[in-house]
Amino acid sequence: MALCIYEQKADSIRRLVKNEMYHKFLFEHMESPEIDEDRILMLLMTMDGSGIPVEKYERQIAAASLVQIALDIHDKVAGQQITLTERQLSVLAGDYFSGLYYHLLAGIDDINLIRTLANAIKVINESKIYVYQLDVSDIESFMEHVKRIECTVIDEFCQYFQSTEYIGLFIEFLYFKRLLSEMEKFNNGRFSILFEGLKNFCLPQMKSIPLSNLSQHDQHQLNEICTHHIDQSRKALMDETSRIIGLPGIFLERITELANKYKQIAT
Amino acid sequence: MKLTWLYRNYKSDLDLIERELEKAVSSNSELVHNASLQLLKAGGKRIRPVFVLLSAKFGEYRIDTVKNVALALELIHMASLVHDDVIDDANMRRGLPTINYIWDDRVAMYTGDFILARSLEYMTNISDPLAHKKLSKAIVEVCIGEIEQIKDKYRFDQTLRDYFRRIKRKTALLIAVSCELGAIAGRTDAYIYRRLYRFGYFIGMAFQITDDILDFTATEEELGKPAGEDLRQGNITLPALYAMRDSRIKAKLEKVNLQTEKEEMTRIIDLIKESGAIEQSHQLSRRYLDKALAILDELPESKAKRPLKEIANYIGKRRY
Repeated sequence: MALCIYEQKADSIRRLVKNEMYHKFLFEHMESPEIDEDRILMLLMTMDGSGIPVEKYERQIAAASLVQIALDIHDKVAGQQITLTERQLSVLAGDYFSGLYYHLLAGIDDINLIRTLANAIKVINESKIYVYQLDVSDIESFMEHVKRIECTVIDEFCQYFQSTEYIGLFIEFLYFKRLLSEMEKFNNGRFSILFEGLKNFCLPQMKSIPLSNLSQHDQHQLNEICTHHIDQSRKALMDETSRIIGLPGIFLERITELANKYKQIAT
Repeated sequence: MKLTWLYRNYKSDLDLIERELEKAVSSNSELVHNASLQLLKAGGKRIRPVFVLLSAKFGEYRIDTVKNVALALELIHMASLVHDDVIDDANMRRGLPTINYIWDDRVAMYTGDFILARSLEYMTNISDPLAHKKLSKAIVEVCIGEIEQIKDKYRFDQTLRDYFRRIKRKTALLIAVSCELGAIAGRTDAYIYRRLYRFGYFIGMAFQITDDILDFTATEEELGKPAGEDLRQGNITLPALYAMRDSRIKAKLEKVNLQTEKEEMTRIIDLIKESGAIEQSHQLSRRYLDKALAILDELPESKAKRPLKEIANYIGKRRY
């Protein structure tokens, strides 16, 4: 039953986000932005028992989702596989969705959440620059910034509502998911910013060589290093999962799915 | 005619805004800081902060409050410039290399997002929910305007109404909202902030029309880009729309594209000039300015009236 309620709530928020984002020309000329179901679920779990009216919390969650979508879409601007118009519209779509987050929250007078999410955007973009420019001293700081990029919106959102029970779990889940996604990209011969970083710190002599041109041996070495981080992250995720009693079944399912995906990638 | 009088009389507050802008773009990341400073160094008229400050003078002028609105508006403008340069693949802005040119698109995107976030942080120092409703609505409209601009590129059958709606969103809205929010931050009554919004809207429309005229009449040196570049990029502006009422000119304009040679652009610009479209555009810009000046007459006496009038006159006489 609980699973059903979460699905219903998530569906309602997804529709709200879709309706807010919809712009005919935009959606005809660019790939539809992805709404991360896991993040919506996490934001809903954060609001459990908060006593906030449905209309209000739906807007708060939709606003946080729009922030994440806007941030993600701006990562695509420099992608090599998009047309000029798609690139231009990706810039504008990200700005438009950022504007919508502000508009949604202004509509319910939640000025403090506007500030909280603005701070998250600021921190994430600083971290994106550190990661992209490899502007850090060691691999640990590099990985820390990768984690921050993934988790700051959810982290700040939880802190704002003083709903801290799940923060550790959410952070580990998102980080684990990101690492898996980067590993998948690398294994499929696509660009991975994470593997660029690993190459920079672990194979500094290969800095200027594209990932795809590395020898089998070097690629394997990077894969091993990433696997090590994924293992650590997976362990941390499982520790967090077992720490929490009464975790919603729907989220446990997501963790299991992710762990299974890991097995597939690892084999 | 320059705005030196204005800038002299409001020097201390404008200097404060300038210092605060530098603080606003400071970042833990040296690169974000440097990239933002690059844009700040390129200067600009700071016209939006000026409108915010002057409009606040119609109410309780408290610089500590009103500066937050002024900074937010200027930072929003700055963030949009950084992203516009990515869209246009521009190399230079105000005579300096752009962020995307010095670094790359990705750095420009992240820097623009950082600056936008800073603007919202400043704005949240304003507790009046009305201010946020007005600004957020304007930001969304501006973004829609930019998307529509892409949609309207090389669309030679667009109407004057399409053009007006586009420049309203592209330029007039943020100037209108600067005036309105300045007044709201100064706690004026609705009668005043609504009129100041209209004042800003008319000024903004006149400003953009003048900009669009200059694209055909100013020199490459004055513009920092070749004359007629907007048209070559597919942006159909007021002089072109007026000129296209002549079907022979329309037929020539419809052939313009990114590959059109400089000599051909010069011939097209001459045709537009000879058609009387520039003069017609000037007249319309003047009508908007007259409307703006008429609104000032409806406002109560204030020290801000003279500089607002000066700005309106400056826009009317702007040559580049």
